[in-house]
Amino acid sequence: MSIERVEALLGESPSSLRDPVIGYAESVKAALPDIFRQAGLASDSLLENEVVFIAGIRKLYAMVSSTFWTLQKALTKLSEREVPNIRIGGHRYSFDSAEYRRLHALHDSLRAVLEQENLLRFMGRVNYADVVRALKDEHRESQ
Amino acid sequence: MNIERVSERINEFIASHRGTLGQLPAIQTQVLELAAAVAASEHYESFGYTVEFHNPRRSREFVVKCSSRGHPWNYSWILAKREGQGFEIHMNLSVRSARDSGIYCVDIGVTEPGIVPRRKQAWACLPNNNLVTFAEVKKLVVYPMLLAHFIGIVHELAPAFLTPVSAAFEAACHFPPALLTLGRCTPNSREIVAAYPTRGISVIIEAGFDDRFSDGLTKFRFGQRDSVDSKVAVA
Repeated sequence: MSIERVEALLGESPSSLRDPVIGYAESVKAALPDIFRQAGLASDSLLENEVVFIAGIRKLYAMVSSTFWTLQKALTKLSEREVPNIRIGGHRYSFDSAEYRRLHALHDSLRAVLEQENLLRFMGRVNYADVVRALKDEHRESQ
Repeated sequence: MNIERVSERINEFIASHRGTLGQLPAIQTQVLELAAAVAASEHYESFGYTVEFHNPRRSREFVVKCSSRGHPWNYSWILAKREGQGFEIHMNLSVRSARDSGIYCVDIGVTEPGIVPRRKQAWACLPNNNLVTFAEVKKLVVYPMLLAHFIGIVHELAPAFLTPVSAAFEAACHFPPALLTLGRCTPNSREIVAAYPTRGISVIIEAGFDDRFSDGLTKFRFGQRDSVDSKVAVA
């Protein structure tokens, strides 16, 4: 169910975006037995679905975040050298450019959704065993 | 976690930013090429080099070379200088093989100064003996065949790095040939990379390069810490 849900999210996106996200979610799904073993927990289909779903979102956020912050840092370094503009192929970037502002808005918008849904804590380099344990604790508390 | 609600909100996000999201993979690739050049300049700066950015027609626009097409004088490059010694950093640079007449294009080439032309002229590639070091960027997880591919490039372009580097190379604080990737390292790949020093192979494998580049409050330096991620690629 979880891979289908990730697929549904990105169904109409180009394959260059859809494939790495779904591919990553599938790789996490394949690693679930190891993840649960590391977490010291018995396998649980509800938890498994949540972890795989989070993996898909995590990959999407990683693509958005790393692209934005990499560009941000490069622009900052070049601006320090009084080189405010960057041209890459047909794209022009500066802190004032529409392209940069769109990327910034993309990052901030996704980050806001993840923050509001209390999912930001699962992004970045958090170990999936820790993710499983945190979700398990939440299930217990809600019962 | 309410998966239904989260799905709905992510759907709304995707619908609102469909255009930019559609372009994201291409932008990510281009930004990585830029990041590799800036990272190389930071590496030299971190070792006391002064760094100058040179743009075509002396403009205030840094022009990134994203492919093997195009002439070097139409793109930006970077000069790193220290104690009277200088090296140039070029993007997508054509380089002659160390073995034969083959020509390869490296994502980042560090060269002796004044060899890559700055004006239009007949020019095919950098002579191999003027290549100091290089870096390759891949939007991939580090897996064994990728490592074999990279070592093959080192074998063709810079076979000296298949043996321990010279004292002069280390004294100049160059980075050895570097593979920069977005993804992490598979467990088997970590074992392969860990064995390189015992085999005398001098390369750097920078897994998760984009995270490390964009993370740092300090200057990026190749191989600064265990560049091969200690966590498994997936979990």
